Amino acid sequence: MNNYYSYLMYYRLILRLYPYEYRSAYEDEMVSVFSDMIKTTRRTSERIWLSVTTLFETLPWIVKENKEIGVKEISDAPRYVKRSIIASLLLISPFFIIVGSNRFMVMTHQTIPGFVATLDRTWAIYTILLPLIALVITGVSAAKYSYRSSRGQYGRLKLTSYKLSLVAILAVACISVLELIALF
Amino acid sequence: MKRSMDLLPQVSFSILLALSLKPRHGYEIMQQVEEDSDGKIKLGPGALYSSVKQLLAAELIGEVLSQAEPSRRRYYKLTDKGWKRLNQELDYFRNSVELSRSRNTQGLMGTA
Repeated sequence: MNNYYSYLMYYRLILRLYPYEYRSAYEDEMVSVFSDMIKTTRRTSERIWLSVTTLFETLPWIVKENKEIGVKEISDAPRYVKRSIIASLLLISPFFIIVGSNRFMVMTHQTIPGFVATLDRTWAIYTILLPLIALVITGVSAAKYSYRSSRGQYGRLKLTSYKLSLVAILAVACISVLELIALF
Repeated sequence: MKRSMDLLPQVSFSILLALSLKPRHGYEIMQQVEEDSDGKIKLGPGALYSSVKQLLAAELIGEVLSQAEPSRRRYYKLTDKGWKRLNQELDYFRNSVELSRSRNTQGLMGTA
């Protein structure tokens, strides 16, 4: 990989991880800086090393920018959106703790003799049902949000983090359904 | 010295210092920061533009339209507020250096 443009393409791919607002403001400039950095190198090994170090340099800033945007979006969000996210997180956390620890116990039971996986079946069902309830709560709030935002009530508020949390809750709900099927 | 503000992060301070000579684009800022710090601070594009974003939001730096290079490069320069802030920071460091020197002569900081 010694083609100059492949390195730029690689860097543009990394920059895709930044929030849209940040990218639209700085993507071209950052690519231009990276292109200047690449031009200072001659050997392929130098270019590869530069690409790897730039990746590791950029990743923490990508996390920071996404976190900043997420926090800002949530703080600007209507109160019912915040409430639904908090309620969903509270509902999902037992799922991670109990089902996660149960999975761990089942896994260790197979390798460590005498380590018995014990989780009450009824409790497991309740725990697995919690993410589904969380999904209903966020789903209703999302529908309300989409309806109001389609009527222009929230202006240009995008709430990417809200959509992402919805996707995450949906994923957890899917896992919980699979767990539920596995139980019976 | 009366100080009503927190100190700027190291990277932001270095960027302001780099822009105190002339308006620069991103890569030039990186090079100047490295030169100013004797190679101790090596900025990457991630750190650079995250700080640039904060400095722009705080109105400490501003964009300059480049007539020489009609490319996608943006040049940045210090604003009046930026100059004021840089001078405040430098005053603070100057006072700190003077204070540490005076303490050193009194033997409070060892004999180094």
